[in-house]
Amino acid sequence: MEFTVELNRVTKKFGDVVAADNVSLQIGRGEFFSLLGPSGCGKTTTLRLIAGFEEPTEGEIFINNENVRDKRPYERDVNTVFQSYALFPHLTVAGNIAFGLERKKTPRHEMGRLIEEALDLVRLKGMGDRYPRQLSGGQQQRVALARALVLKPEVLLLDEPLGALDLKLRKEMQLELKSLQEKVGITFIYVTHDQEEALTMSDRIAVMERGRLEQVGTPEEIYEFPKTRFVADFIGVSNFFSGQVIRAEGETLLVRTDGNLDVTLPLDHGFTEGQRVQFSIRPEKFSVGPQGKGRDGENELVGEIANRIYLGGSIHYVIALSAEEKVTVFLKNERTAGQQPSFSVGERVTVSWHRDDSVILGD
Amino acid sequence: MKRGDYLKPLDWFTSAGYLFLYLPICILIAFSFNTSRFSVVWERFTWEWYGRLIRDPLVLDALKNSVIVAIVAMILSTIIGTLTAYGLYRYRFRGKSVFDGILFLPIVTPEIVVGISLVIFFVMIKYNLGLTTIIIAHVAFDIPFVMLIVRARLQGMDRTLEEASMDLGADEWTTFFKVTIPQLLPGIIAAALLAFTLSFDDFVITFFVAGVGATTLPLKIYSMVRLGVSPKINALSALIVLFSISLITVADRLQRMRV
Amino acid sequence: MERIGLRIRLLKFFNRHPHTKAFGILLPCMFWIGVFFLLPLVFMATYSFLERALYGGVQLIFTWENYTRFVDPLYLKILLRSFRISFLTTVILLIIGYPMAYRIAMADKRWRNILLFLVVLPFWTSDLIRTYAWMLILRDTGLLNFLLQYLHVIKKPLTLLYTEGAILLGLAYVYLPFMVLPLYASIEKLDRSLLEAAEDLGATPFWRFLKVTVPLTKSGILAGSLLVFIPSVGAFIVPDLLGGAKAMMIGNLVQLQFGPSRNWPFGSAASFILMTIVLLAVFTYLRFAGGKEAMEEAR
Repeated sequence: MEFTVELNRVTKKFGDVVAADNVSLQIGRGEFFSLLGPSGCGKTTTLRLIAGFEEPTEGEIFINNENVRDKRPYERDVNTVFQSYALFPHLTVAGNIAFGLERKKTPRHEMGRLIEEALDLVRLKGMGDRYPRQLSGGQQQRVALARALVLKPEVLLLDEPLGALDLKLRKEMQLELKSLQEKVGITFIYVTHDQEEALTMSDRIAVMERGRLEQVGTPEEIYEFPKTRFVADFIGVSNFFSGQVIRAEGETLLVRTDGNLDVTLPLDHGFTEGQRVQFSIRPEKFSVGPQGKGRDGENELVGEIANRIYLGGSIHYVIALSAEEKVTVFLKNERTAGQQPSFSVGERVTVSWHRDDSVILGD
Repeated sequence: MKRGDYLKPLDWFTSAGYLFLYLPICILIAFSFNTSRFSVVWERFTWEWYGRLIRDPLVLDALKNSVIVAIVAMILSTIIGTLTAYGLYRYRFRGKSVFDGILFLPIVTPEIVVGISLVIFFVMIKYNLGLTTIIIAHVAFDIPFVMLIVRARLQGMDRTLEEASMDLGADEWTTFFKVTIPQLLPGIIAAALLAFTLSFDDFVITFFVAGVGATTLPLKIYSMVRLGVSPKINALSALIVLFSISLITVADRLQRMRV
Repeated sequence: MERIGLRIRLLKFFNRHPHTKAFGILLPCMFWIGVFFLLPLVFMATYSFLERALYGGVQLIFTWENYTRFVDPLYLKILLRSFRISFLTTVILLIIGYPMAYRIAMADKRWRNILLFLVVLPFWTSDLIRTYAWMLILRDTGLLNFLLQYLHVIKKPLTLLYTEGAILLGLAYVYLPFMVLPLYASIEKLDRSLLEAAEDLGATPFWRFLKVTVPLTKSGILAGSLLVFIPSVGAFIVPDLLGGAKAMMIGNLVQLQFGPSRNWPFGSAASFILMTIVLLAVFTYLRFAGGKEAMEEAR
């Protein structure tokens, strides 16, 4: 496999603070790759290391299989869309887009054409003579994009580019960015703290926490099979349990939770009798009813509805399974005329889920 | 008690303060148009004193010297001060706070101390006093002011603009001239204008380092004042004050300007 | 081509050695301030310990005499007068400047900028000319005496010029901006809700001012006082034009030694004492106002 960007055990320290801790990543050509995590998790630092604004304390970075240790930002074939856009206020939109082309010594006549194309690409035709301050936030964002894309870099780095936009515009731009990326075929490395944004746009996501990579995978892998408690918690909603392995039995692992509930998990050879285990279940994986469905491998527990939040399209329940253990359950609102399969607080119900929907977590 | 109740007497007091600041200057300007040579009694309006001024070769010579000194000092101090502000903004190094403190010194040192120490210095290295020594001295006291004004501008600048420039392929040199300087330009021009004004108006330091041949306008005024109050001094003073005020107004505008 | 190659090589070099680059950028300033400001001060300090030669020069003989001369009542009086006048100027300007700064800080934004500008403006204009303007007003046949006689308040002109009072007035006039600006800066930062809280807790306006406003704007008061005291104690033009020979200050004494008296070592000693007073004032201030932050404010 050919990688455009490769990070090999990269560490960045600012004094005593470790902003990136032994990060190794391989990003393929044409990939839409997101770095996702809470603020201060090291995602922006990682991006700045690739751009060349920071130098790694340890480790190596390769762009196009070339070690870029001695390369300044202006010598790297990557361009950045900044969170603040960083449009030059003293230059027009066209001047901003021309800035990089001039550095590349692009011939005049070609430059005009390229600028027009770039403006066209981001749907800002005819705006070339305006100054950045005369544009709306969304338009400024697109100029920043055009300014970087016009240079046809190997990799485009985007640092929370939609962070300053309002929700509606952000949703629009997400789709636009994604289709733009497919159109130009450039590798995008996208930094965001918004899990939904990352899930919507990315081919792959790297979840970061405290400078470390927690998990790298496709949106589906990240959501369905989180490897750590942090990932399960940060992306979507999860119900967490911890308990002790009683025994392995065929395809299943029999576990007694700390709240004294016996449940089955998918078999994992890493676990032996008596070991502690942590697992999570997504709220939409449960079914609730007077009785379980009786499928093979189904867990069934009885609980009491502790809380009910009506959200229109869905209803969220908090169901107490034992004194300490409560689960959050999302159910689709299936109410139709004449039917009311909804539960009320205090009602006793059976909660069931398939053992393969329990995800065993690492540390 | 309502807000207005205590602001009312404050208004009067503050107005009186401004009157105190500006009335003497206004009186000075007014008397430069009075025909009477000795009396403070108003007689008639006249341009006569201004006419005499521009026919006085000594005054014109002093003006020429002042302009030369102020322009050269302005250019040198603006370049050095801007570089210094940039260096202090951009780099961290050991002893930076000491450096900062030393730059603070010329601002708080009494002018007379600066003046006589420079005279001693020039005499000891046997350098003849003249326009050059005036310029050297002016650059020294202008640098910290330029540095402060440009630095204020730098602190308001978006640091990512420089990163964006490098990201788009511009090296440090190009970035400095194509991005940083244009951002700082209003601040730099303001600093230059103020450096010009400071230099043009300086009396005390110039008085010591000027030597015999090199008379600037403030020195000329001082020697005229020693001979007593005269409408001609009023006229010359009025011109200088109005000139300074217009430069400062432009500088103030520039400092507030956003790129 | 040659130039580009050199430039890239230089850039590479500087990128490996960022300290060299910082040093290079700061070098012109270090040179100028070092050679044309610090070095002369060292020369001056040296001069102050040397013996005077005939006709102005110095002899390379060490002596304390230039300093011991200050116990002479004549010179002691000048020193004390300088202190007294500078201290009084500072107090007067605190009284004038605080209400002005307060009013400016309370003005709405558009007015505030104009009012501030009008305070800053005189700072950049010539001290000499502004002092001269007071000569027009204060001299025996000046505007003030004329008006007072015209209104029959007095019969014979009062001696206003060449008095300590004239110096005080002149210094207050010249250094008012130095007081108002730092005061304004600290009053403007004052959290209005604290004043409201004080009022809510039953403080009368005067009590509130004394117990809340003043303590919270201490840094501005200190900075303003410093910025007025320092140039006042070293003032030359104002005492020269408005004080004359009867009311000399240190600045005039220094000038005298470099002018008619031609006693450079003694002048250097006086100047060095002046410099020491100034530095002591700065350090005392930093001590009270607490280090770096205060220094920024003083600027």
